[in-house]
Amino acid sequence: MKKQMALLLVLILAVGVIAACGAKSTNSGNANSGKNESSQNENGGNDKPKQRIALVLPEAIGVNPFFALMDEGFKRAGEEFGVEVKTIESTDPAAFEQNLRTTVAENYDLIITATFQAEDALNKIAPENPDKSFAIIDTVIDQPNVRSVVFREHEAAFLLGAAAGLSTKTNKVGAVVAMDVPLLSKYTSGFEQGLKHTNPDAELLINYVGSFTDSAKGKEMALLQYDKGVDFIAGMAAVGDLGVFEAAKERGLYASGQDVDRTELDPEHIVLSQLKGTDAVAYETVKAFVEGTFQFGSADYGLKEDGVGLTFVTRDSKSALSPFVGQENVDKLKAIAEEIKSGTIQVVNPLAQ
Amino acid sequence: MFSLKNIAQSMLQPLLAIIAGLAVGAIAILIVGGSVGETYMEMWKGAFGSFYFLTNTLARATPIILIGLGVALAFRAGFFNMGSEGQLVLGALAAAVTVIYLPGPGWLRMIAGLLAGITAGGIWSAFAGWLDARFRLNLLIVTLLLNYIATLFTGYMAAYPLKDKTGSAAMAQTVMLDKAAWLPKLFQGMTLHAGFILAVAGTLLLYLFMKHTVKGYEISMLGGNPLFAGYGGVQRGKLMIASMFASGGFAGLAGAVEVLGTQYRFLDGALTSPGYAWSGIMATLLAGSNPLGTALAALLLAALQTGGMGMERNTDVPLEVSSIIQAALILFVSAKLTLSFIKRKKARSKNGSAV
Repeated sequence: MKKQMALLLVLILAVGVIAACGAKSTNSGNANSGKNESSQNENGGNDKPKQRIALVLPEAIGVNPFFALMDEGFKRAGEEFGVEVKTIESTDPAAFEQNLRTTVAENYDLIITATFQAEDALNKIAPENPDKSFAIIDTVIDQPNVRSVVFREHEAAFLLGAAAGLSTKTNKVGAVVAMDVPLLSKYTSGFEQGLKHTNPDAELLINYVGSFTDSAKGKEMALLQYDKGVDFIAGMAAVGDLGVFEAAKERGLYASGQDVDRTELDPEHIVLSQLKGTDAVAYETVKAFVEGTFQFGSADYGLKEDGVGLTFVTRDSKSALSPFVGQENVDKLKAIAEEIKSGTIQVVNPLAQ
Repeated sequence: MFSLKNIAQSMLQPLLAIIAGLAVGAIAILIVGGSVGETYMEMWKGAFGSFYFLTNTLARATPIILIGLGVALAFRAGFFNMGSEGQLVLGALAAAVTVIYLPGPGWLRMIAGLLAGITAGGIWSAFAGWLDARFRLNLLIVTLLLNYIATLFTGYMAAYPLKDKTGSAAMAQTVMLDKAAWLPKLFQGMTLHAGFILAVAGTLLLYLFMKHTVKGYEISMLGGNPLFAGYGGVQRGKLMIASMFASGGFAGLAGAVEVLGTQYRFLDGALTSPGYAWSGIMATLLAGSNPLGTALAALLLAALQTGGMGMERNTDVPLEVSSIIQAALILFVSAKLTLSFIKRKKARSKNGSAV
């Protein structure tokens, strides 16, 4: 009897909560629709329906700077160019495909997605919808209605390698890399080319973590390399970089990060960061679409287009420059960056061979 | 009249769980500053709003239904099979490998793939049953631990020996299966595939089996009262291995249809990260191991997930909130589970490590 009373009470409370919320929601719903109308009116002046662009990500954005940055650039472009933008995150591969299909069904004008994780789904969906426009960032898909935007990471890696070559005191540097796959050879090969450019005698150690998400193993690999006399390690292991940073801190030596300015985490030991402007390409893609210069096929962004870079050299950083690198080297690196941009230095893309 | 009252009573518990879950979800939505009515509306639309979204939900429900059926069968027999995840991924891998390496026409490889999935899942599950019957290892613990072995093993196979080296080669996955062996899609441009028909057929068959056959009755009896079943001539060990095989077979089939109907390759993490196995177990618990109820509950859970996606697409409420609603549901359902767990424990006899 007591139990039933309790249940009844819970039920009444629950209904109360829902009812109360329902009332509120109608109000805010009206407010929202009012807002929409007015914005549509503003646009109506141009006699053009507002374009809608979706960014469908294969993962949750979470703490991954790669996606967070992309989302940021995407939203900024949406505001500046007056298009409706929507970012959709996915929990798993099946959900990603459903989300992608839904954006097709909901008639978005352009659907942007990213990374090798999206390849399968897009390769299925793009041919099924030949009259739709798609774009994919950070990998190449060969479909007639897809624009692939990739980075010339090897150019930034070259700069990073050059920096390592100039800075190392022991003439030994290391790289901790996520996996031994063709995609990542852009990083290792570029790094090696840069290292040999400034310091032909330097020795390079490369170790593979075997995953994009294993920071514990990344740390072990880094410790191993430091034990072998390395004084600078380029972290190229995604989440594994966090382990590399820990190892650098423990040993009081130096490391570098990827994608965003990682020096902010620990400027004393994380002395450089190889940048990948996912925000810039998301922004540029929206911009091109709005301005009508959008083309299918493949496009790449390098140092020249500010798609990739290196902290202190191509972009300023909030953190102080470490004496390990030094201003003198930064000036040299700036000259090298200019030479890459002008084509005086040719960085070989290992994937193009 | 009597049965109507019965149904109403059996529906009361899940209904209460849902209402309470939604109420907790409403609080979560209010905290993140969304409007509850609009959010639940978008959720509903995302799950059932149009024919397209309905098929999305059914596609999502397919593996959950199949897994739920398997778990329901084991639970009915009194065996806590918590190993669906391992059985699922092994079934998926077996199906993929069969289709990749078996020569012959597409339809034959497809059917062989499905059968391989059932067999792999079934053997893995029966192995756990055998360990219990032979060595008295606690089934619940064994099945749970075998999950790790299975998921890590399949992950290793996809990352090393069977890895697809074409393309950017950055994913742990097998090569794409031959198009001729794919499970057909039911509607052009939608995710729903023929696996759903298998799930529906499985539901009906299991229902009829439990209700109208001698073996089905023996299984229910074994679960209801092992001592009485033994007295009545039911051989526990034999029946246990058989029902564990069937239970794992359903999970293996779920993995096989996902590989042949959705991903078209074995992709490490594609079946574990959506939590299909746990959703399946949850569906079974929601429905008290009734096959028809399990299928309905699986549909409900799938609707919550696709609805969550719709909500995320069209409102500013994050996807996590729909996870909170689901978690609240599990919480309220597990409250019921604990009660029945205690009851079982009291009734536990020497002849059955039923729980």
